[in-house]
Amino acid sequence: MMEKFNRIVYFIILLIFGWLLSACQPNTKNIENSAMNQQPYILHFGQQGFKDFAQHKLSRADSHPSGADFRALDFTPPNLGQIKVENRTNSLVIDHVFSVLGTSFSKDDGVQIFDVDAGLNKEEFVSPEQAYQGYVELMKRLNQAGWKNYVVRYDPRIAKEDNIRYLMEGNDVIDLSYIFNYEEWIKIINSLTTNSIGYRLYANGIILDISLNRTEKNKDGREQYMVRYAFQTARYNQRNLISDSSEMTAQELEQKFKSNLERYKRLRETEEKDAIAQGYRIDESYVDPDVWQYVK
Amino acid sequence: MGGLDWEGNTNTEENSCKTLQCNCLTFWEIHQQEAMKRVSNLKDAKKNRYKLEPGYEARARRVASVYAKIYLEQENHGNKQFVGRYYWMGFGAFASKTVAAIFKHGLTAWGYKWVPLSVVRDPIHSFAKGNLWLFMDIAPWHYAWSMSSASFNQCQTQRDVSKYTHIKEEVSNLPWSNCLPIIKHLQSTPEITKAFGYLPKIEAIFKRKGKTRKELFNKASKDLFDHLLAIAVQEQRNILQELVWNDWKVDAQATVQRVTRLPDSTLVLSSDYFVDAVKPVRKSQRILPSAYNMQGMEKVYEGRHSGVLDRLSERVYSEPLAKTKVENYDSRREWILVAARKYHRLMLDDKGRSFLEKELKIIAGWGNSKADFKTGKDSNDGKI
Repeated sequence: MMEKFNRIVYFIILLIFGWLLSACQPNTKNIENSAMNQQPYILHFGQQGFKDFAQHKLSRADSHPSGADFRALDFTPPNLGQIKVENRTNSLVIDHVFSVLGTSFSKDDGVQIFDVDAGLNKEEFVSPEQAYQGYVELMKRLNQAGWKNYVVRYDPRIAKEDNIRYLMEGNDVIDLSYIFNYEEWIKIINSLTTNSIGYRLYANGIILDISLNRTEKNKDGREQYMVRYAFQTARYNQRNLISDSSEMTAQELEQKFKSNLERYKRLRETEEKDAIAQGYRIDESYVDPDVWQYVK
Repeated sequence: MGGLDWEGNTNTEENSCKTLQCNCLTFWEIHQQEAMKRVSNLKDAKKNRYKLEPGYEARARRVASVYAKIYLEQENHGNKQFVGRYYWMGFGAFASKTVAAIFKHGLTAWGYKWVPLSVVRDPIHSFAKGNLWLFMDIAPWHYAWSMSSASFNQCQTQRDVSKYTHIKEEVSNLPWSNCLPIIKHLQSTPEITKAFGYLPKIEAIFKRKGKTRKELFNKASKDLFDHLLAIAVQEQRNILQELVWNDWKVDAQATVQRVTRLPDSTLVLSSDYFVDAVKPVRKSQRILPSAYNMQGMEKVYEGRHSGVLDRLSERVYSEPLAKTKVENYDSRREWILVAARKYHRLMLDDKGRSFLEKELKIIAGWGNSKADFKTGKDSNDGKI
């Protein structure tokens, strides 16, 4: 009896609060319609990035007293977004976007980071063949946009011929231009315990980390994939690697950057010796991008 | 129905030695027992007799302490070289501290004491159940990996509480142990496989010599974050959604909490219980705030955070998003992703990581927390 009474009391409370809450919610249909009409969403790094977010109805902002600034765009399934991250000739269009977070730690530099969460396919669950097609389309798009593998200065320059072996030993994919055939793809994604592959890419002063992740496989054998893109300016990345860089003079920063390069060179030599000992080949032709032009 | 007392199966004879062949099930029982010990008080050293700590807040503090110690590699078989590899554990320590704060909150305590209705009390018990059984699930996986990743891999699929032999009764005596079939007797899940699958790569990076911690974290960034998210799915969907959020009374209370914002569920990434401790206050309390008097508007951090938080790149707390419905898994996941990103950004920064690890060291010291009140008869599943 008491239990029944409790339930009645709670349902009344819920009805009242539910009504109050629904009165405060924006009209979902309007939001969805505006999402459909405004695609693709064009997003720039730098000061323009703030303006890009400001003009979209789906965005939210969060400014911190320290000067950090966060702008986000959220999309609700089934109306996922399409965005274009502007990077001159290397601009990248991303489909099936759930959310974008633009981050700035410096008012002068504007937006420095974009974190994008997206699906690999339009549908949430797809067959392995459809998932593979999604992977192929993504690889083609990245290659067409001119993105290249980025080897961190202190990492070994493993030759592309050893791509699959290196990947299967728990590292990132080191050859973006090689698109796995279906059999290779199935073997890789099923064999890796994380069911995921990663990339670290570079184009025109922007570093892009990609994590392609099979997040579910249901009883019918249909699969769900998520792709996480983390774009950051090389300027932010390199300055962030140097402790207290914001408090340094231009000279101190250059000195620290150069001494780091020396240290990285030595570390890479050691790493490459180890890699050779393990039977890996080294890509001597790899040229590190000149990031100092963005850092200074 | 059993009580909270239980006896350990370890040898209590000093300086004695006995060779044992440890099979996979025993391997898991050892780690399960270790987790149980952390939230229990030793009653009789000779008999190896323990009693589960009955206070909900005290237990949540102890759980937070173990999570922090696992992150800091201060737990069994921890390896200082790898501090940070158990990335979720640092995040989880702050989350369990938030649970402790909710139990401590005046409204929770008041509601429990003065409103003896199941609709008010049951959600409190549900949170305690989720806190305890999430810990029973996740801590032994980590203990096992720390002891031996090879044994972990060999034994992973054999963990099954229903097949335990040495501590079967002790586990079933734990409060709400009847929930075990719902959470599949703590067997392995694809999320556990995935989460621990990132560890060899993270460890290989952390082993490299000659690099700063910032460089190591930067290099392992993707894998650390993916590891955290995989465990977040395990704890939020596989455990907490099943044990806590699917209860209609919890659902109802969450609706009320969303409107009243009481108790506050903001995730504070420090050892403080309440968010005000990490918010700046107006420097001059005597002058009324005014846009014409910017000096009067200036804010500063007070107490132990003065000169610390103002040097960080961002705030150390994450409020639920305006649209967050904590009782809904997908909605809660969106907020967790935002909070996890904050944790991740702070961890990738020297000052941020230094702050978080300093706070985790404080939380790590809460391992002997005890309830400072008498537990009600309806608490702990009626097992007192």
